[in-house]
Amino acid sequence: MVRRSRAESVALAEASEPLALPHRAADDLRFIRRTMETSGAFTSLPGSTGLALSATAFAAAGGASLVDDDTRWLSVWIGAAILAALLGVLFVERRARGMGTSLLGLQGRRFLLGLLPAIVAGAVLTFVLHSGGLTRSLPGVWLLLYGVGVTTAGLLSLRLLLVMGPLFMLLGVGALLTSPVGGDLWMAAGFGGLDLVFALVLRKISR
Amino acid sequence: MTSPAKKTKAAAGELRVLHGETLTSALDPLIHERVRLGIVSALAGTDGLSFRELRELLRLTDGNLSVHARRLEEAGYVVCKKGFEGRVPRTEYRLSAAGRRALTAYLDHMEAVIKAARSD
Repeated sequence: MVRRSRAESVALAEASEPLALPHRAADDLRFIRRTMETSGAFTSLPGSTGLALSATAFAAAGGASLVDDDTRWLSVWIGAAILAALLGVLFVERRARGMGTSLLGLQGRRFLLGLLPAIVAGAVLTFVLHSGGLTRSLPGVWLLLYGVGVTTAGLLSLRLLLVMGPLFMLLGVGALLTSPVGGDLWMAAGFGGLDLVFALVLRKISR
Repeated sequence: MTSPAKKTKAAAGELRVLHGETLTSALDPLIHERVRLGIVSALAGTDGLSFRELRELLRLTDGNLSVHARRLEEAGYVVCKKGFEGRVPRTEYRLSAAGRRALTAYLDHMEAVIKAARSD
């Protein structure tokens, strides 16, 4: 091991500093920007959103389990998804306004962009699978794709989503493996249970 | 009044003449430290954050966050408010006007360093 005197170490540090400092400066600026954006996203996701989504999912799972017809079953879940999306937008917008930002601010756009490809893919697959008579395979597909979307959104915002996304994906795999049985239970576990846990954790953290 | 171009040239001169140690010492040491820079940046992006939110956001331990937050508080960069939410204790931090000014000055300094390096 090479041992250097303090004087040599200082000289080396000084020699490298003019080159290193601009790199450090650029790195610092990136760090500051990223931290400010992430903190904005962190506080724009209220726990009440998760509670609303969870309640909607539990109600939909209960309602859908009573329906035999595939088209009516699908209508229940699509209706619940639309209601959940509206509630989500309402809560996040209200929180963002309270903080002097907007839903479609930088963080909101990033979050939606992370989620959007998975939602679009889910819509296309819903149409294709329902047309092909595979409606009861949809819970697995929805959970899997939602997990992908949440994970992507987590890369751009809240670290907690990086845990939540893969858990949704695992439930999706479980639903696909047991398909066509138990779809509503898997949906209740994911969109009801996981959202509830997420909401409670978020509330605890924000205290 | 000094123009931005002159400021950049001056920074470039600083870089060439003073080298690393002196230029680094010209930076606000309180903010130059990465954890404290993270705390100040996170608070600058919000109206305020709780202890737990900051800890989660910056991925710090309780002890580490406490030490650095206290130093910022002592310098007047951060305002700490302790209270209760129901029966649960809640510690909330927000950036003071002095802290915001210090972050702005630090950002200006870093931008000047980058411009100076590019103009060399």
